Amino acid sequence: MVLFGVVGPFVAPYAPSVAVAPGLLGPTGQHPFGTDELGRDLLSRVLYGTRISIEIGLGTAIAAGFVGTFAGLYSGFRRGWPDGVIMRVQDFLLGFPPLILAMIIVAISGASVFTPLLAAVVVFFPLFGRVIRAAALVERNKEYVLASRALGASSRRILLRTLLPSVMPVVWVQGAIVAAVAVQLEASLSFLGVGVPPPTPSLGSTLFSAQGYVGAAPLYGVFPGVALAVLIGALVLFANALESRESVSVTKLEIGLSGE
Amino acid sequence: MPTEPTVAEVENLRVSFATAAGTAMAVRGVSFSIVRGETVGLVGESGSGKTVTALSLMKLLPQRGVRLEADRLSVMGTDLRTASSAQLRALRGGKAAMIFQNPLRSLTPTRRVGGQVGEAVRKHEQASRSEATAKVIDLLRRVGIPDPERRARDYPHQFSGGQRQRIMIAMALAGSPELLIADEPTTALDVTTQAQIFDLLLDLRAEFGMAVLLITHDLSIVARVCGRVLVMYAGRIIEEGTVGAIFARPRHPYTAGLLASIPRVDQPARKIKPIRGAPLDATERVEGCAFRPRCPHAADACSKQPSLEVIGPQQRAACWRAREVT
Amino acid sequence: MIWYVVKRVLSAIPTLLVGAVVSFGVFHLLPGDPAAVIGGQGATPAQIAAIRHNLGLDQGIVTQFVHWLSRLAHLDLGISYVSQTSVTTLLAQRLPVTLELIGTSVVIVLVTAVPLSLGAVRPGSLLDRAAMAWSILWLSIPVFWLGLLLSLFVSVEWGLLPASGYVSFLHSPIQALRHTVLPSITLGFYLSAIVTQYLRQALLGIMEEEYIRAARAKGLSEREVLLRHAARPAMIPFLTVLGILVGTAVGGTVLIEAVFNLSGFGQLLVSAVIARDYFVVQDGILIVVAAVIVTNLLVDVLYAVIDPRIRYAEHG
Repeated sequence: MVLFGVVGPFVAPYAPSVAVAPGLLGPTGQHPFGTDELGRDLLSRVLYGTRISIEIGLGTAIAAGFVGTFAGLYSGFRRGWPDGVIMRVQDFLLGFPPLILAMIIVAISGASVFTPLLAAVVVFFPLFGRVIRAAALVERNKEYVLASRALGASSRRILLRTLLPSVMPVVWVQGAIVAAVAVQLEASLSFLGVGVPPPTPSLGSTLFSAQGYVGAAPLYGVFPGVALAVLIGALVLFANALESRESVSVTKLEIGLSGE
Repeated sequence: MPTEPTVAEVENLRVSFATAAGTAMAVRGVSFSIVRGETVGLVGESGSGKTVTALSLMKLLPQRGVRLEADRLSVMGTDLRTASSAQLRALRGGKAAMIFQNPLRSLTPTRRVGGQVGEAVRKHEQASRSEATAKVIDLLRRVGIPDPERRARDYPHQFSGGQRQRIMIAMALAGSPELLIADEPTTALDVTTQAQIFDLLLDLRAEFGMAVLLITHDLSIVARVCGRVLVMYAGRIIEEGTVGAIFARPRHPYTAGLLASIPRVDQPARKIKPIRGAPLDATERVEGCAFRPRCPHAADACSKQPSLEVIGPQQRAACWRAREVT
Repeated sequence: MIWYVVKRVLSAIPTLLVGAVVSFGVFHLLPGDPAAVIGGQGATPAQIAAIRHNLGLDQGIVTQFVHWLSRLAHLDLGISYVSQTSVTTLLAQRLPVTLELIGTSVVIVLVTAVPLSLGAVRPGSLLDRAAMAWSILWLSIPVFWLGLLLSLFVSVEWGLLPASGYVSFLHSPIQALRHTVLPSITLGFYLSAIVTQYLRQALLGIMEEEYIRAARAKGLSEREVLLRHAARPAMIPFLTVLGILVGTAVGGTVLIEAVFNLSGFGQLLVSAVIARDYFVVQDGILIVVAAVIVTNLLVDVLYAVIDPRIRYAEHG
């Protein structure tokens, strides 16, 4: 639970909004993190970028969670051909290298602040779907579900009222993992230049610019990277803690299906 | 050196686990001994500590987070508290063997059955490869697996539940055990197969002269198979005696309750009376008799923990009101 | 067993077809007129029309698809409009780079993840905690940042190893090695983190299985238990993770190639998508899809080799 605390500091320095300020290509001083090549204060950019990352991470987790959980519940409960179709789609999406898949989606939908989010949701909802489906398959044969059915509850009711609460622990853990992974994905996309479009700062694109100035301003790339690492690390630790708490074992494998 | 009359001696065994919810006392002071050749039943609900007791006899409990203490814990003359790993390994599967509840899960799925039995044979007997193979086939035949030469090459999932349990028994017999601990060996099997397995066990017991410690929650099995029974509740033995004595006249309210809740064929149909309440949670600290909240005969005296007192010639019970209860 | 393999191969074929359709479809989902993009800013309508005609874009979708398939059957992968070379040539140049990178990374993964994950055998031990720390560390640090830092320090500051460029193993092994170290470590550590996490968890699960306990009850030493009863079942999650690794690795190479300036397959694909380079995109995605399908197939077959339950599922 100590690990919760690690996430905290990043939620706090939210606000310092817009990232444009005067100045030059300089190191630390009045600008603790320095400035980038266009003279923008890096501290603000990092903070703002972090916020974007958090938004995308959580947003993806929530949206993908919704889609994936319902897909999983539905297919796990229903079986039959909808199950087959949903599973196939998910398997396909899962097998495909996530970064490439995300890039394609971004390319198809054009560049906007929301496209990385959309791409991430598409890439990650199968994670929820698969895991929830597995949980649903286990639960659906348990007595309390059978009892519900015996009582004549409609399928929809069973889905929402009985199954859903019982798979929630899995959803939370999976959500934390997906958030971590989504942050990575967004950063990777931005690094490659296909993520959040400029001038909106993103930790990934900042790092990309930093790469170009490795010789002149070596410290440029340090801070955004640290921010990313800490954010992702916190989310991962959070997921770990959640997992042992709820004693759920979600295949940690999913962490790897990130923006790589 | 004369052979010991007892194959196992336990005195004041206490086992606790460290859990997220606190320390769980699974076994709170259990003492008993098992005599050569006898069949003892260890009865209790889930959570009573019976499996933990059994595992303690083989020192098969995990190392982390487990505290095992006893004034005496000796199996086949070996003091388990101080035994070296080598001694323990020689004991397990050798003079003392154990079979488990779920035979499908207790057999390694990726290895052939013959190999798994053979492994036990070669561990505890000096045998060449061919001798071992012959012994394996012999063991399989002895436990009732048809066509053992061929079937030894099969994998566990290719057998029925009852057959798998037989295979486990074969593995246990490989070292010519004098003590066989059977942890709910038939819970996962249907009634007919159950009967067959017990017949087998009894045959083998007669043939090999081994003692059997049978862990179960099912009193009817005990009646069938065992000579003596130990009843456990909340980590303690609350009644013990011969099967005859206990079944005729249980002295502890819990035992009485257990017996009353078994449907009997030889009596007129009547309502089954379950014991009200739920078993004790292992993390709870208990003052006095642990059964008190569920006992229909609870009295003030019960706030103090009763010890096992001799009630009849072959019976002991831990209850202040034992003599009054029918 | 043979039956199983045959069945699996056969079922992979329709999946491959679907993959082909998807690969084809992706390109046509991309917004914008590819011909216009290729033609560039100053192209006249006539030029654009000519490009369209050259690429066959003025024909019906299905016709195009069929054409593409038939050309594939003749191993004609088409021409990259952007670079005016045949796709086959491009692939021949680029694929080895990527494959070598993936290869060396996998080696690093195996060397690190397998020993580390064995910590699960004794949970809470030093090795176990090291494994957990290792995996969390390399998962959290973004791959490209690591690459950046490594090239910054090791190459620029200390001048130990080259920061970019590629030399084939076939030309000069030593040089090749020097160039590969940093990129492989970058990708390898990340992948290793994933594998360690996964294997560790899987091994933990296995060690708690009842058959492990039963094996100990037979009097086997821990070593014997591990080798004879835990190792084989552990192969299954191992294979699973290897299978997934391929997909993740391909994505990873895209980033690594960007950081270390390697002209690999990943970069090729990315720039092709951006430039709407018709054939490269289609063929490229198809290659990725095929690789994934083939890997899954191999993994499935290997499963059957290891786990008799899967093998015999056919006849029960």
